[in-house]
Amino acid sequence: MTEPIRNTPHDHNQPSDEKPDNTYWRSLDQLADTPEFREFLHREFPQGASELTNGMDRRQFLTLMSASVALAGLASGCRRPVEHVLPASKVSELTLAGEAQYYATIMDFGGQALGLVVRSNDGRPTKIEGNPAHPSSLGAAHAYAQASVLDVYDPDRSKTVRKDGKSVLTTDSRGNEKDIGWQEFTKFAKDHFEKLKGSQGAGLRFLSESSSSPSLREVKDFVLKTFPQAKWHTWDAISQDNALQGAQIAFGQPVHTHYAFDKAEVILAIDSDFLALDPQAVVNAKKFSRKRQISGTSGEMNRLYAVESHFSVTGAMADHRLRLQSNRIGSLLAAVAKKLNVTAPGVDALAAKFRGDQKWVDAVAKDLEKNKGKSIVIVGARQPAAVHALGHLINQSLGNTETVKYTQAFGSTFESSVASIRDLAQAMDGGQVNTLVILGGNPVYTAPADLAFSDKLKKVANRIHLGLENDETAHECNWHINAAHYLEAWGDGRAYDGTASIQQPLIEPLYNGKSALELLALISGYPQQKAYDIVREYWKKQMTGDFEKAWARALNDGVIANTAFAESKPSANAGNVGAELDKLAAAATGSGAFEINFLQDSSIYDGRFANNAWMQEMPDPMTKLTWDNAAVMSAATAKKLGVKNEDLVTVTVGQRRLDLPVWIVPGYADDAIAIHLGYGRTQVGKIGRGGEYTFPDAIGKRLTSFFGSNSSTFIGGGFNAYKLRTSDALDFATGTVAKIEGTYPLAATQDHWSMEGRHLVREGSLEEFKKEPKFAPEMVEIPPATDLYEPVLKFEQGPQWGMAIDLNACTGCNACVIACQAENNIPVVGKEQVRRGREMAWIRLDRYFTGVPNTDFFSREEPKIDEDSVRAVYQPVACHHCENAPCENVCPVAATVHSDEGLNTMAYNRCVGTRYCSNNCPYKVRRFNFANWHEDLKQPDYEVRKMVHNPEVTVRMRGVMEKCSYCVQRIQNAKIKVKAAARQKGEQWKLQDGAITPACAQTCPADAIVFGDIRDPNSRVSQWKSQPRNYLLLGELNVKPRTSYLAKLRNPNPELEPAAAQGGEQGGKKEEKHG
Amino acid sequence: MQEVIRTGFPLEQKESLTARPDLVLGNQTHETITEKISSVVEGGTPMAWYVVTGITAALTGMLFTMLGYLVWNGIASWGNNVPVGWGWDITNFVWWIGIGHAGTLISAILFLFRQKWRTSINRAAEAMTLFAVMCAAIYPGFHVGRFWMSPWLFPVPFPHGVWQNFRSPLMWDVFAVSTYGTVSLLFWYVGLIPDLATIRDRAKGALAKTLYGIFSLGWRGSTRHWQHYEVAYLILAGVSTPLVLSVHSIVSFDFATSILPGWHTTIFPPYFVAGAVFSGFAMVMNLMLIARYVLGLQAYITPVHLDNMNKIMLVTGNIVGFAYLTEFFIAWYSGNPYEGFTFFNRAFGPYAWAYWTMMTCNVISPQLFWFKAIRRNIPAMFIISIIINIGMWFERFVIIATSLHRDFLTSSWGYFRPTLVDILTFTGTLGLFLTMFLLFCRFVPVIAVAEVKAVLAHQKHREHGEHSEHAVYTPHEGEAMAHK
Repeated sequence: MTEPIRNTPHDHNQPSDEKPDNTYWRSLDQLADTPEFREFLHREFPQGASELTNGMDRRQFLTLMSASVALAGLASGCRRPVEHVLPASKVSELTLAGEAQYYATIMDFGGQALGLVVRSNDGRPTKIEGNPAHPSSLGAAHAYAQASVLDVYDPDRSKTVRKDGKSVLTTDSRGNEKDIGWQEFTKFAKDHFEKLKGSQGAGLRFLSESSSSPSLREVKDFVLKTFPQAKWHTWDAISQDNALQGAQIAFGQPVHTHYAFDKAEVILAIDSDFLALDPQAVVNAKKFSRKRQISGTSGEMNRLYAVESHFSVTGAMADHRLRLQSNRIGSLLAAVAKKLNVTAPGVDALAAKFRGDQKWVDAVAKDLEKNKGKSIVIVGARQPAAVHALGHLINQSLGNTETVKYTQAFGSTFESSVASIRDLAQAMDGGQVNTLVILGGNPVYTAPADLAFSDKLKKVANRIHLGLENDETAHECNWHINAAHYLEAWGDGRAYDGTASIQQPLIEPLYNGKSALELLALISGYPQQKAYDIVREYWKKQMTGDFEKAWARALNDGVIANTAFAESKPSANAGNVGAELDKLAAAATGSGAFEINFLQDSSIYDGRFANNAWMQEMPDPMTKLTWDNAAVMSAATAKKLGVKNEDLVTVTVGQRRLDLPVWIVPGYADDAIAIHLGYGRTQVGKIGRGGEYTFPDAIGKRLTSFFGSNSSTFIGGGFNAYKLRTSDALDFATGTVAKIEGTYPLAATQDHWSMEGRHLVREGSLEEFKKEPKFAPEMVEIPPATDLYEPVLKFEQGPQWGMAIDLNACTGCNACVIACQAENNIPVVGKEQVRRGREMAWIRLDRYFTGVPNTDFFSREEPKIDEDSVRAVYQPVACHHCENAPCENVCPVAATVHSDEGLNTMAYNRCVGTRYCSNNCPYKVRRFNFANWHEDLKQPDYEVRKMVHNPEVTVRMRGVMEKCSYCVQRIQNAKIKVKAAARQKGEQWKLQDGAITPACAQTCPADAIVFGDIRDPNSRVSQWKSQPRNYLLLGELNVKPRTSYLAKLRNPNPELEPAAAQGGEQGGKKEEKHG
Repeated sequence: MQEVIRTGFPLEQKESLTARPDLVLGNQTHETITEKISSVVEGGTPMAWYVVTGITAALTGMLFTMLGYLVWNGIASWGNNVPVGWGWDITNFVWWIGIGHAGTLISAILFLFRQKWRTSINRAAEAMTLFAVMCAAIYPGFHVGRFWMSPWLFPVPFPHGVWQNFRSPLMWDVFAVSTYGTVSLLFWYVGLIPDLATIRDRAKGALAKTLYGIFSLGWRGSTRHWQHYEVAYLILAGVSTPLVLSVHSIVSFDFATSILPGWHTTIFPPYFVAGAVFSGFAMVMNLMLIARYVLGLQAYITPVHLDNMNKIMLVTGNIVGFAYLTEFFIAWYSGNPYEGFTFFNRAFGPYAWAYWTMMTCNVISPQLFWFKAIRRNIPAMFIISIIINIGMWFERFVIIATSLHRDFLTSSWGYFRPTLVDILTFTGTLGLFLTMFLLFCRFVPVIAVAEVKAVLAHQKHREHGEHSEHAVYTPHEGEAMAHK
């Protein structure tokens, strides 16, 4: 660990508002303007270390010098954080220019902290990975966290303080315009809040999103003490309120529930996407996969039952999945509870409402009963609190004390966020609010439609908004303060189990953004004004012993030791639960109407990532849609409505209407549609508006106008489901759906459902596997294939790289897709180009449905799909680095060639772009730059976007082919280090197994990807490849791929599938399904 | 050189089935032939020529505009995607190259086989070959992602020191097409020399005299000249003959050597060559029928010529049809599920419309040529030839697009739709082709005068009841006529 960088030119005591201008590279100017530095830079040689008596030693000086000079040369540099940040454990002794540094930090997301390790290249964060030491991460990070780095460099970010929608500018003596927004706001705030202090803060309200930050809590308490009449509201469009409220009902206190999936044999997921969209999904997947990665032939695995209305990633992993409308799921759980003899007053009444597969319920209950103490019933955030309470009751009656644990919640009291915002809306309507401070979030867009938040907001005289974007809310406030991104600001946060971490910035705010801490400190006159000081002071009080040391360790490790909450053992009160169940039973709606489900979006969450191009183009795991949302429905529902893909329907909930296109996915509950939240933003950057991005920006507009097509059809951005979402039905509502005239084009990356009887994803049941361990490789007979010619490369020397992917662990969560995108500078192409089949992702998740018919060319009959038995399987596919690569011999210019370590390499500079390699690639993993996807970077506005690029990977120009390289830059980095060390010692170099992890493997929450040297029989990858489940995808083509797959296993309940389901091909009657 | 051939038939049987029909009609002499064919070049340019050439030149201009647009914007201007990396670009390339084949076949193979009826059509057919190769060559050059790097396709020692990959069939293509283009040009040009000299000698304007003088390379028609000419012509015919077979075989290797179901088949080389001859003859037919009518060459391009060409189309059409059926049979018989799927998908999948267009045009329509009445009916053959050209375009499209759009992994299946740029580029190549052909008709004798005269001589001998040996070529006579 290095010493903190002291004496940095950016002293944190220097007031930030004295900085010369607000462009992001100004730090260098500043750096150069510091007297000492000007002197240093003007001298040809520093005059010796004698001058450096102020604590900086020679090495540190040289480090700093080389870094700053290099940055100056590149002219793209930026500032290192002002305050003392500490590299994480992965760091080298010295800060070398050009060498990546890693810093531990957290992302406070969804009300809890996810521990991260962020790579910094010359002072700019470029890649986000999980922090192995953090309990919510264990080394992995979800797609949201990984993509958030792009938001730092979003050219459409809010860059200035805005008063009444306009930046506050002044012209200095030399005629330069200067932004004085923050100074103006400071003046206003001092004045205004001083007055409010006098009135005890009457009429002052705060609205924030929930946060786990202890120091924010401290400041909040101070604020509320300063303004005793003020009130604090919280609103999260996507919240865990139901879970907390459920705990409140069951235990009389809000507690956090922790599920030990690594210890559970049977899991019943009640409308819970705990593997992908839950805030705890990363750690859940980590633990869950441990019970799926069976080695050898003797392994036992868990069994997952899932009930849900839509088709989630967790549902795809389930051994048994039941599709059921969301409003009926409670009654199913009650039926299970009844079967398990859980005694609570309302259980019978609710169970009586259950209409569905009783056999399924019986089998599940029996299985849970059999695995008492080793089972989990987990209820998802979309289900009402009473169902959560019932879940707690069942877990308790099953004695699941080892698998389900509880800790205290962050707050001691619980107030649901919908109640909170309703309260605020009423107060605003009643004219009781004079000043509203909105700390993050976008309530104008996300607030329940029935609250008419926007209208009521107008009645508030002083509306102050802090946000990253100039969004819908910013537009309706008189003051908008541009916020600092979490990678730019100091803060702290707690993991779900209470473990605290410091949020360490990676870069100084590019646009002088402020954090909530700083804004509150200013408003309330908190003793410390800078976020760094606030956080430090707070932890000074909490930490014992040598604070500097403890602080340094906290920064370095990314977690503060011994801050996790103690386990609490609350006892569920069946009576309270029963009362709520009775209410639920009374309210349970009948049939007839459609159920409209509002879903958290896997890409843009609640809309906050709408301007994040990586997220917009990341296909939804199930629908594979990009750039838009849709009314997703089952094939049967679509048939009933007489609609097909892309037809428009109108969805009505009460008096509210929304027109949007249809997208059909088998396995959704009938008479129910699902709409993802977060789309249809109106005040958003170019990307959120859809097609006006990247390629279309530069060429597409010309092209579309050239073709005379209506360019608006290619603009994505989707449809605003919040318009239908009311405060009493946040998760699902009853409504109607009807077909209307017209269509809307949607861009999906995969529209074929069936594997066509091909053995692509090989799947079997656990029983079958035990009998026939080698069932997967034997599914396809590989003829004795010989080579016509003696291969030139024998692959007998040095490391030979290979990869194995465990399909039984892969959940399909998309984390690898974004990891690869960030690591390898993969461009985004825009909606129109996705529609044209030109997306660039190097790794993709192939999603197949089993149980859907194959193409039958001779039948003109309506295909029959048994949607109850439809299941989804995932297969991550990237370049397989075939030893006998079909792409290589067809390239006329030898642009793709093999390395002696078995890598199929691309020489971009050599490529002329014949595309023959792509045609001849059986895996279709090669991606062609059909246009200059980086065209947008030429625009001055987009200059900042370049900063996210990984400097170790070429940014490809148009006309060249690209594809997965097994992260060759990581391989080379590791080799260079090992070789240098070995040379010093005079030894033969050898890489340790695990020294190299490609970005996808590094971030996989399910640990489904292993990479390493296949020549070393002890490497993990070799061991995986020697598993009986190991098979080669399209191995029969004799291309000798270096990537192999471990077959997927299902663990069906014999009672539900007496024939111990033959996995894999659920061939059935055939049908052509083309989107 | 004087190769001698026996007719083998007693001339008394003139009226019988085995008799050779006349290849030049009317009471023609060497003089009338020279007069007639030279008049096309020498006469005033008709207004219609300007109008038509203006239109085709505009289309050519559009071609270059589109190509410029393509280079400026990237391949995104076309409909190509992943998985369909090649769309109309390679379809059109193969189609144009195929069309070129008729010229070489007529000029080289029929020459070696002593098929005298070739003399009336070989010049135009060879010219058509050249123009078709020009159109074809545009595509491999421009379809690459980085047009400005396309010189790297040639084995030129560039400073970066990377040599070409000779395992790639695209590399073989470069050699095959460039060789073919070069040899075809030489063959055509050598054949033109005596006729250019004739025009030179008759030319009145100084410019025409100079230009035709330069291009006729000092031809004086001496016996020595004729002797060298005949040898050169024979050698070039010998060199060209294997090219007829090799070029399209190598073009077919672009597909056959891949691992893609639908491409990876050993039947491709003969099947492609047959298809090429098929489409080439159809194109020659279309052009010659128009030229014959417009330039009044009915006496030289007789129903006999047309009948013979139709017969070749019938034969090659049936070879192609047989190949289609064989492919299907092998797809089923091999038991390879991917291949089986590909072929069913061709016939019944999303591109079924293209497949059945191809089948109808290429297999069903030429069957009409079994009937002599249709073989000699000019409107019928004109229409059928157009249909065959359309069908052969679809054959290439079907092979390329339907094989690519659904290959091994069903997740990666896609669909190809051409863009306007695709369509305009293709239309532009038609414009270029026609422009070149119109220029050819205007400035070069469309019929090989010297060779036709030889046929005439033969015919006259027969008429005079001489059934002794006689020379195939009578260059002295031809030369004498040229100096009249």
